[in-house]
Amino acid sequence: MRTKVYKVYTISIILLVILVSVPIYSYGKVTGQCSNCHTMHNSQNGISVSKGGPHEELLKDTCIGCHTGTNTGTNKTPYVLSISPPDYGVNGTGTTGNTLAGGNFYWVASSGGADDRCGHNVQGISPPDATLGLTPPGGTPLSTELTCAGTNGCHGDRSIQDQYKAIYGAHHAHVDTGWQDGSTVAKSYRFLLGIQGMEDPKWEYHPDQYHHNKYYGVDRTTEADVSGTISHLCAECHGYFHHGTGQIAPDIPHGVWLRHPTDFDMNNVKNGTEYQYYNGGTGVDNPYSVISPVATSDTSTTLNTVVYHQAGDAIVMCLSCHRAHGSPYHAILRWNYKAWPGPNGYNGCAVCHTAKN
Amino acid sequence: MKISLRYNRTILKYIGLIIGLTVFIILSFSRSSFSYTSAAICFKCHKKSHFVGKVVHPPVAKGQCIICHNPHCSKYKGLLRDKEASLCYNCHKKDKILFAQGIEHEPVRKGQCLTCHDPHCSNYSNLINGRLADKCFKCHKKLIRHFAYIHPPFKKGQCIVCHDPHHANNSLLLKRDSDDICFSCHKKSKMLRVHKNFPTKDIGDCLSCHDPHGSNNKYMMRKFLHEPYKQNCSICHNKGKVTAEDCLRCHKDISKKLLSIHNHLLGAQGNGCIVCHSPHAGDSKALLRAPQLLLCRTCHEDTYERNQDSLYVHPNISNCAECHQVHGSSRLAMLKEDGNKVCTRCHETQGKFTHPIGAKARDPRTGQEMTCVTCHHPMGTNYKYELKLSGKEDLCIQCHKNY
Amino acid sequence: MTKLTLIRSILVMVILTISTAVSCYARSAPWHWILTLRGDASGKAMDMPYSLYVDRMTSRYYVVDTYNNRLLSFSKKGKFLHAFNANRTLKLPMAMLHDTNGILWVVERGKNVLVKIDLKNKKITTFHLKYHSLTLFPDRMHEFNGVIYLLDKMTGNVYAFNKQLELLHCFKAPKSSSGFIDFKVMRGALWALVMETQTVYRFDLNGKLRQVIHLSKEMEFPYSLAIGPTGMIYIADRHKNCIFVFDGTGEYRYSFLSLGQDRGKIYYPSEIDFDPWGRLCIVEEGNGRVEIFGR
Repeated sequence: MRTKVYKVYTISIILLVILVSVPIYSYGKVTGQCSNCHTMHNSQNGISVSKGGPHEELLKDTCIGCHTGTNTGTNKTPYVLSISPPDYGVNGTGTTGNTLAGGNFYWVASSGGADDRCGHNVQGISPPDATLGLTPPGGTPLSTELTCAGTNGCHGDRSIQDQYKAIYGAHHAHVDTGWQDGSTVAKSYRFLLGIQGMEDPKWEYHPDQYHHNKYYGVDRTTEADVSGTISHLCAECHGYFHHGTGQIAPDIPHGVWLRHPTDFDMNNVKNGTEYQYYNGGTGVDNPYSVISPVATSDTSTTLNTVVYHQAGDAIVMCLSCHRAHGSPYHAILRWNYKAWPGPNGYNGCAVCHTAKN
Repeated sequence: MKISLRYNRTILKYIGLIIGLTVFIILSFSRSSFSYTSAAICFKCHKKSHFVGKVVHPPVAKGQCIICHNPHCSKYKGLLRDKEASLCYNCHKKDKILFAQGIEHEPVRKGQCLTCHDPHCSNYSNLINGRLADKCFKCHKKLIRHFAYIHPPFKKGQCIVCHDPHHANNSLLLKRDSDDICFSCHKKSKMLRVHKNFPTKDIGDCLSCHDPHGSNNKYMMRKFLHEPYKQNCSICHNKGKVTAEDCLRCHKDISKKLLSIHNHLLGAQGNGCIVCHSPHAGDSKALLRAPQLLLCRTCHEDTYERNQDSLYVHPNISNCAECHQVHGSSRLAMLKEDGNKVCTRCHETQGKFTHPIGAKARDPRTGQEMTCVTCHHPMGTNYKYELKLSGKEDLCIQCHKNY
Repeated sequence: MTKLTLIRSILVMVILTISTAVSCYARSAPWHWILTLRGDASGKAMDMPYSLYVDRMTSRYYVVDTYNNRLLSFSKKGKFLHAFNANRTLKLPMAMLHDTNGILWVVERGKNVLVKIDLKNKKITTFHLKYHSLTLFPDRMHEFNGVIYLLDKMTGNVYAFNKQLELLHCFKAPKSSSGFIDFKVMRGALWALVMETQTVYRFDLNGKLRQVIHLSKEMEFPYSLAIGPTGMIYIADRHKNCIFVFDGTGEYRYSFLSLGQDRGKIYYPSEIDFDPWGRLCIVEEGNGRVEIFGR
């Protein structure tokens, strides 16, 4: 009896100590000292503190200034631009190296690969595309070069011109666990206002079937735009690749496609087709592929580790084939299709188009 | 029963051990429990001739070196058992209480007794470690020492004739009322005779005309003369007591400044002006009775101490009037202007790029305008840039609580 | 003694120690924040409020919002009621009182006058006060039994006037001092504070000095005093930003509050006083508010 009592005491004390001492750590919200990112007067010993500044919101650096570095898996800030060539991993699919879900701007940056075809030309990273200028393919011209956030950008509130104001407060208010419902910038997937999803806490550093982003998609039956999906975000600039009228063949949905399907559920066409064998599966609970990922219309906090488990869990999206920021390949493809079937190539298309490998 | 007895004996043993250890520790720190080691042991290495002089500190004379020194090890220089002043006040207990009253001489305030005293022996009285005047002028370097007319005590370096080297109730560290000091040598009856044309029956406030150290003017008159004093005493002394109103009759601009929320009308039974200003002569054009810092320090000793003791202070604060409107101001802390303009006059860069300040930026805790002094305290803090709290995070989260 | 009993004994001792520590803390900090009077509800924050008047009859607080040239009234519960600026004629009001005849008396520093405002008849009368032909600079003001007491900055004395502003008594500050910095009329006496000597002088209401109380604890900048219901002396230290409490003989008892902007902290207190309900009111110039504490 006494032994039991002592055991209870001991266990209670240990539990209490653990509860008190172990912090609940989330990578989403910025942590650390205010002075790491902000400067009150941008002046120290007569020299400016902020690089290329002054910057708004009393920041020491620009967006890309803070998000430049080499990902190691332990960094607390996601680096989307590296100064030295990033490692795009085995098979050149960006899943085992040191790039993140969006890829890396290195290959389009003036300081890096400087290839317009390998990434989004963002202000402060590279000059406007020499061929396309300010016109995104499939869309209408922007008023200025693409920015990280704001009206001419992707992140933040795209109704606000100024990119700092567009993302105001999101870094401090964000919680990266749980479903991001898109209601505010801080509650949107990767600060993309209105876009839903669930974020991998390590931004897909070395993703696998059990550790990856959960993208939101909607299975459409018409060519109309839908809101909240990751493909919709791309379509805000590259609209014709996602939706439209008069730019498609008749006999929807079985007619000739003029655009590769997006926001389309492969569950609809799985049975008896090559898509049944997505990522080497059998057509039921196929393993999720981080090489050619799919979106889901499921908004629960359960990660979609398998595909073809339920309707709406195999939605083709823009990011199934492309990366958002940059990749070593033209058209910001996730894999080197051009070099395939050569030794340096990879047929990521075959993850879905299993009969065409 | 047997088990319980054994257990109790064990507990008693432990208690006894603890008590014994405690007693031992107490005794080991109690010097009175030790018999004094003869200084002969110390003098085997430390030459005795260094501890011989006209005046010998009693503990040294008695060979009680270990009252102050730890013969084995110490974290203080000279193997002292404690900080300088703490050691001294162990014996000079009454002085500790006495010196804390009023304004302390800076070495006393900082506990640096050895600035002036030799703790072992000296050829000078009171164990002063050298000629008194040399000690004073070692710090007071800026004091002018050469005048056409020099006061003999000052010339002879007899500073302590007038000044108390430890503390006083005034910022000039005068031993007592200045007139008392003057009249102790210059008999009042004689002075009355030589000041016979004075408008008042009595004489006093000698320092309002004379520089007690010396001057290039005859009779050691101070350099700058008040205009009415230069012309005719009856300009001011025309009816009974001279009051502040008499001053303000000419100094109308000051009159306006006094109509502020805070002013330096200092009572003094109707003539607060002469608390700070000499109505007759002075060493500056403003006819201040003492250098500004010393003058302000008379009432604002706490601010002075804060400035001296803080790690980070605004440089060059000897001219208080640089930032403060000394006659009257309707700003907090009697600043010349609001808490932004007064700083950005000099700190232009910081004024141009700054955390939101001004009427549209309100402190969420109080609704007051954000100004430089919301975050900074130029009189001194222990945080870099004279911030009120650490600028890395602690200060920010006072308002930005959710971050 | 069993091991379990030993553990229980240790637990009991720990609990006792903690509760003793808590009660010690409680003894030294008997005051707790009750409410804050802020100007925000009027549409504008207070700016350098200097003093407070509590109207016992109407149970109202009146805050002299000096830099904003107005007087603000609040209910006993702290609800903002009204802002008054005498048709924008007030210029740096410093103190006010509302006498039993419904007359408002206001010390205006901006014009160096004492103003009598007859609210009913909407009449304003201005007085330039003098003492033996010396212009006075009225600062703080209180009323007791129909007599107006004014602190004068020119002489450093306190003067008692009747409602016709005829001088009744003079409460003289020590000659060697710079004068009184604050005073209160309480418990049938006038208590006045001299800052540089940290001394409280108690006079009878005829102007005769009865007691000199040297405050035992060194303060930085004693600026205002209040006399508690039991005779304890409360001193607001403007630079240290705390309240020192002394007994009637000047012996230090304890201090409380500290510098800050949050609730329960103070910054540049300009006046402290007790309201009729035994609550300690602190007017904070630096924070633009009045905080009220109770036991």
